[in-house]
Amino acid sequence: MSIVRVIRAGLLTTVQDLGRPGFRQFGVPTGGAMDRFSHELANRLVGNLPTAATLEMTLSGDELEFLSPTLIAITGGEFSPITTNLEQLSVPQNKPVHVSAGTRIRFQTAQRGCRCYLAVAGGFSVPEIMGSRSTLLSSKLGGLRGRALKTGDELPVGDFNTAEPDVAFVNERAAISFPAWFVRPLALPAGDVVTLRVLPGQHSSMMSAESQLRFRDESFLITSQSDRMGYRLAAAPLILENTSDMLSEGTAMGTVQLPPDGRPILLMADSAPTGGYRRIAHVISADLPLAAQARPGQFLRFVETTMEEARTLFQKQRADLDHAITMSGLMPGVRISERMTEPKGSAP
Amino acid sequence: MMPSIRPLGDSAVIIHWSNADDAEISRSVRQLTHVLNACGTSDFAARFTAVVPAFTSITVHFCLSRMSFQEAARLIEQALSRTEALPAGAPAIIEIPVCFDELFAPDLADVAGRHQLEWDDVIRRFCDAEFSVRMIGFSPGFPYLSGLPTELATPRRSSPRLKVPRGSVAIGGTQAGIYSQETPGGWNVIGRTPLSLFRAELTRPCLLTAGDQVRFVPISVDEFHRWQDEQ
Repeated sequence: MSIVRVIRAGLLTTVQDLGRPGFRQFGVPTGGAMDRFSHELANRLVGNLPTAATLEMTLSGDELEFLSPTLIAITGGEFSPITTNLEQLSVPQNKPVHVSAGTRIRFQTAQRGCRCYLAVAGGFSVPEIMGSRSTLLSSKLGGLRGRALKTGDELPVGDFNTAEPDVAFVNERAAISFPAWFVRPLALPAGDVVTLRVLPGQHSSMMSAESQLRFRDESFLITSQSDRMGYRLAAAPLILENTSDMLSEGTAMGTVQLPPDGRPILLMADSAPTGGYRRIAHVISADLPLAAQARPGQFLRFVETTMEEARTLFQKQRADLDHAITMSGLMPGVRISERMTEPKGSAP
Repeated sequence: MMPSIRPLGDSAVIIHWSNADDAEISRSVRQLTHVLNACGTSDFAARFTAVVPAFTSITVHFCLSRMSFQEAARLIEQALSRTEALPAGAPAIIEIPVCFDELFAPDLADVAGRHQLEWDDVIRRFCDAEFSVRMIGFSPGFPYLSGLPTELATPRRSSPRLKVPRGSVAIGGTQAGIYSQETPGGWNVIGRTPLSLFRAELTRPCLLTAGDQVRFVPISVDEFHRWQDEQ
């Protein structure tokens, strides 16, 4: 079995996949990658199924050593990864990269975006709990012993990549080798204000008329009290006209809740499946990856869209992921030795 | 009574009965949840990614690349017309051992004081009551219980604790609950159970399910530790 060793742990790196949606009825958050697009893109670039586990690094990455030759892909936030053992080569993102045995890669501080994803062919094969390898920090379960990576940890990689790599771009003698093409990544937040498209929440009309306008027109600061569970947003408090108690009801990743203090919370991957606060908006699925790449200190703006557009945008994103399969020539689940040597498409 | 069906974002639907937490609505919630989850008798289970029952609502999550809100709503209307009975038999009554020693009951004095009752009176009234599990939520395996005697109803603490120990039995307003893992929490803690309410390694990870009837049985500190050792 192949191993990836943590030479120096980053700020908050966890093993993630697509989570455990079927366990919401038991009070278990879905969890999984915050930016599912980049998670899936990384997997597709190395021939994995979307359900394979990747590493999610936050704001400042780890230094890792690959003990065996490994096919990897890095997507999402720009963490300027470089090799550290012999010469400092920068490791490109958004394409498959072949890494020879003993290569060390250091992921640095995020230049843009908040989270980067590292996929390895075969996936990180930590044990499955409730059908998923995702780390759920609040319950200390899943992933590597239910916690973030620490220096000295060793991550097992699935058997999948033991087959001899056999692609045109691979140079066994180089520390890293990669093709010239790359796939179109997620457009990362640029500037201080990140615009997210939303659908109205069931209780948005319970806000005062003035607050409804402000929710549409103002920008909301992502405070430092923001994590995988949710982003606490700051602005002048929004006023609820109906302050009666509400029984807990279902929520979703992307739900914007308004607690009595008037400061909205954007629920993210590890949020509880139910909540007792008013729901004033829902970020559309296609914009959740962008939300996951926004960081504390940036501002969110919410712009209303329609159900139809939400679905069209989501399907467009799926098409981009399918394109990545065509480019890599790696059909998910096909052994490395059986795949095509030349990409079929051209770089976008 | 027909519930309303509304979108919850672009990939979930919320089915909502009314704002009243009563036994009849709870039954409707369980009935539809049963139909939506019954893999053998319907293909609904295969079409949705999650079915989340709550007090007076069910939230159904679907995969946006497979269906639209309209399609999901149509499937739910079909499910509502189904009348598959809930599994026969009276709901199970599950006994939960609870140690009310002050070691585990930081708010018992407050609750007793507020209602001008002796500690023992609070414990006796609490253990005489039969509770029903309305929903599982908040954290993995946390049961929301209705059936708290009205004279024990106590508002949530004005400032929540950062850490409520796992197993804490607590009163929040007119409801009771059991903290299934250590979390922050604002309910009034009056005892602790040695039972595990949630075990991730099991196919059905929760001790309790919506619809179960629950009774609390007082135990001593010694018995608490013996229970804990046995688990």
